[in-house]
Amino acid sequence: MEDIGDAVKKYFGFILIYLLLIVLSLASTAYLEIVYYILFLMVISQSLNIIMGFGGLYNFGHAVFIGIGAYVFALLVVQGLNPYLSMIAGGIVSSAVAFLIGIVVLRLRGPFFAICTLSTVPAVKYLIIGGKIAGGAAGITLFRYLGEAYNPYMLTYILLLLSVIITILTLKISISPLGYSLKALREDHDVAETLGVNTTRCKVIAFILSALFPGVVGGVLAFKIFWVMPETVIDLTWSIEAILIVLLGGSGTTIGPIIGAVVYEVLKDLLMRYFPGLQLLIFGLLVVAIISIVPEGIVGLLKNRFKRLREFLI
Amino acid sequence: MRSRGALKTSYIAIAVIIIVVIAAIAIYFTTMPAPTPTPTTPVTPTPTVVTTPTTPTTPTTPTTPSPTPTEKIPSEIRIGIAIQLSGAQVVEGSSSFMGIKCAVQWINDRGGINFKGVKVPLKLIYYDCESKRDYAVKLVEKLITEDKVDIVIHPYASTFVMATAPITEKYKMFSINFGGSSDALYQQGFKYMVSTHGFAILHYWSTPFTMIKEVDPASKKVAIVFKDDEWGRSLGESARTKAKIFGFEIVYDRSYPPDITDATPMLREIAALKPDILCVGGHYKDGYLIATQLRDLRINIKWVIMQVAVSKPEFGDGLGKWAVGFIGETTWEPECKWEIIAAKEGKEYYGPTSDELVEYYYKLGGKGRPSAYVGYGAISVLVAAKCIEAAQSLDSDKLIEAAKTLDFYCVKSRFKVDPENPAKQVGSINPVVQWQRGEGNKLVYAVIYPFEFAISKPIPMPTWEEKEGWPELKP
Amino acid sequence: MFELIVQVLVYGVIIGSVYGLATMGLNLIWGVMRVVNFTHAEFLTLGAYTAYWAWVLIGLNPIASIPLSALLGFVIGIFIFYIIIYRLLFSPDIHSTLVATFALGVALAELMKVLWTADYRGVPWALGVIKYSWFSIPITYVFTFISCILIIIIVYFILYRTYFGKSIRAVIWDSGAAAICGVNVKATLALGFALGSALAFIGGSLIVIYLPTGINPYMGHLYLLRCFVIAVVGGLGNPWGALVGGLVLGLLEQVSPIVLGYVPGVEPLSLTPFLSFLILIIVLLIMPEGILGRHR
Repeated sequence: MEDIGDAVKKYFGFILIYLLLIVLSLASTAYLEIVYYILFLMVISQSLNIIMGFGGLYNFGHAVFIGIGAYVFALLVVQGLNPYLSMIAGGIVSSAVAFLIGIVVLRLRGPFFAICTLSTVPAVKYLIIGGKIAGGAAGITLFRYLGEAYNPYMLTYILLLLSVIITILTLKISISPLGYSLKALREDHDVAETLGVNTTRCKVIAFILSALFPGVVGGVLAFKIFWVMPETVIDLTWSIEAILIVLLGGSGTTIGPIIGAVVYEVLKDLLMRYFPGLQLLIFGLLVVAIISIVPEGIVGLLKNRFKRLREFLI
Repeated sequence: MRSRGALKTSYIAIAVIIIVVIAAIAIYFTTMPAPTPTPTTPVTPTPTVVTTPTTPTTPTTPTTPSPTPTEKIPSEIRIGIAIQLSGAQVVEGSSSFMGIKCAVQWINDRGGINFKGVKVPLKLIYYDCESKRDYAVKLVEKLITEDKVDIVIHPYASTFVMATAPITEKYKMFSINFGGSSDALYQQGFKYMVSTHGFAILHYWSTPFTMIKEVDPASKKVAIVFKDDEWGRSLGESARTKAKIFGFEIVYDRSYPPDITDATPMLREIAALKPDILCVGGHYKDGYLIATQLRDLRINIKWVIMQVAVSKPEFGDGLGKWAVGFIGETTWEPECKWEIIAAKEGKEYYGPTSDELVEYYYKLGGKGRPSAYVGYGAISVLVAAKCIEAAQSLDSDKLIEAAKTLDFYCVKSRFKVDPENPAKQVGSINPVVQWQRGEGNKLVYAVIYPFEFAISKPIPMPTWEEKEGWPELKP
Repeated sequence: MFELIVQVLVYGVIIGSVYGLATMGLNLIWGVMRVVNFTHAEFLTLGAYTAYWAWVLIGLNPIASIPLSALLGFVIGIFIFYIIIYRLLFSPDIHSTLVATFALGVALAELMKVLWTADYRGVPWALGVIKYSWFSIPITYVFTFISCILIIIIVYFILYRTYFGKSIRAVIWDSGAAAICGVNVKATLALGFALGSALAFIGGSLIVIYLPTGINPYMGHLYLLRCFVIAVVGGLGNPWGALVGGLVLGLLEQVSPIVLGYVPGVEPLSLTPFLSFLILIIVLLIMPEGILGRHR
């Protein structure tokens, strides 16, 4: 029922950014790599946004889903399965694991949830190493099975496709009952309960959805680095970067993580060039500043200052 | 409710802003400089650069018969590398890079490589991959497609090689792996990669065990501990296999987590079993920790062989007199004189001797005692040069065929690859070192095997009680 | 067997007390202001570096540098509290302090890396060993244990015999009521945070004795998981809970490799951290207040 003007305004930002990324990726192989990173972070942050932005649950263990996806991918590829199907399988298994972790961990509130999820990252690492699962610390090497099929363009465009899918998904969620329930329980858990929101169901669904895409991305990652082992695919840095990007862009908005990922990667590149070695330091301070001064992120800031942009930034 | 007109003007304003933003981003991306200092070559201008065999003074010769009708002689041979000059592996990366520079300098000081009758110098094109695997991938791609190098040397560390190898294989580029010692690397089916370094499962532990068998044949019981990461596991497996081959009895075989902070539970169990030999496979931090806890628990074991940790000078600095007796396996030390062994076996010795390499090391600005990584780097260039000379071509297939036929000694022991699988180095030999008490209460870092150029004899580990009575030892 | 039990008990208790001391700060800060201090890891690291630099520059052994660490920790704690924490205590989003302390931790770790590089450093302080037939223990460990006891006694005195200690306990119990009774809540919060941070620094200094060469900017995170487990198991609001939790974990770390050694197909020493994580989850689910926690 919206007219063309409104529709264009709503999707304008997304289309613009995606077009920009496509153009850049075709410019040269060096830019292709940059676009790959931006999209990698983008998909991860967008999926984290579902549970963190809408649901208000800070999942520090987001990186575990990537690792699970990577391991599933590796195990299936070694058995001879088509790599693209293996990626999808990685996503599905990751969601299943999210379900299992979720029913246990989602009962915890606020800081306890954060502590628990933060601890899952080293815990899973030690489980794989100590339990000698899937090759333990030595991991699984993949060049034998995938060497010929390696195509960086394909990987980048898979990420692009994932990002578009998750954007559409987020848009749909934000106006759906699930979305409103999540926002309600983010604001006040107990009041939402009394108003009849089935908080457990909503949280679990959101958690599962937030794990699906990182699982697939894990497969893409494995395809790129050819060696799946705990230290290469389970990296707390990704959790931190994802949280940072969601906060930077605007927690709970759809275009927030997208803008956040682009700004973050560009800033990081600039910092690496002019202040090498200092980028995490500056980012740490930046996050502290954002939290104290501008908790709504870039999108929130723009929305408050430039009222005209309200329709563009959702 | 806005009127259509106002909507249009706001649209225009926003469109203008967008265009400006796009322009800014485009300008940003197109002025992106090279990731590191622009490719420089440390080669001093050599007086014998000859590019073509045409005589310069005949003006009207339409064609001069060139020596090879299929391949031109290049003015320089370009070797590319994306190496860790900053970040987590800066120490290993920059030392290896120093070795590479020394070898390039050595070759160019002799005019270069013999290529079809002329001497062609080497040109080194390098980038700093900042210890990031994905970055290294990007840089190797750039080296091959934009800088058009002839040979690629992979970065240090197995996981990096595993990341950059698909790129070199994709472009069928002859590449050299000098710093990846994980056995997984020769199990992938790489066709154009040659390894110069020994592998954990194939090579490690052979020399210390051989040495112990010669010096103390009565030793029987072996305890094996290793770090639970890829490197440690390979070392553990290697120790296990070799122990069986050498006829030892394995009484303990366990791993410890990568960031172990307390090994006492494990060490106590080992002490109870009274082994003759303790094998520790890991890296520096955990090795050092185990050494100090062995001391604190006063656990006396006759032979203690510890990978990586022992061969670092910090080990002796930190432990002082307590370090005496620890045995390590190294890959290159300035005391190595492989030319003696090459002569004994009647094989060729190519490249600088260790002393010459050390000379170049200081000439190019190296400080302190050159680490083993200098040797790693040097051999990579020497092997590249040898392959080019043997193949007399820069074509990857010919280079790989040539590599399969080579068997020679150089500053970092022997180079010989498996003809079926050139990524599998088979000839490498690891010297053995030990910290010892020298005259005048000095702490000495001694090469004890191969006996041909050892500077002293191996000794069993003195007991902790005995060491307690010693004065402090200084290096 | 008897020797093994004694060794395990002694080593377990000693390292448990160090862990407990290191975590007391975390418990205290949570109790006083309901803030999970994610910067705790970096406080531990800073404490370790303080001990290191004291050793290198002044020649102080780690135990002698405890007062220095405590002072530094206190000052830095007050600083951080006023600059960052205070603003965020009353913000509507309960995660602000969490993310802020976490980000601050990251920034501090990077700052340390820039200042002092990521190279591993160590304090090779060794005093020899007490050996009694089959039992041996390094003398440094004994001193560590004695210092832990002393510090615990001092903390007890602070909490139970001084005015500020009383106000801290009051605020832990019920900050609203405390305010009505005339307690300066803001100053108490600041002091509580500073005390917690001082304790973390002291813990870091003591840990150095166990780490002959493991000091680097990121070492705090190794202990963070342990600290969380200890804090939760012991009871977050109660500083003594940290000690209880610390003892539990210390003993667990000594016992579990032996027990897991009988399980085929696993690596006992590497699987132990996973066990501690399992315990964390179980405790969080069944008994979130912990052993000594307050039952509201």
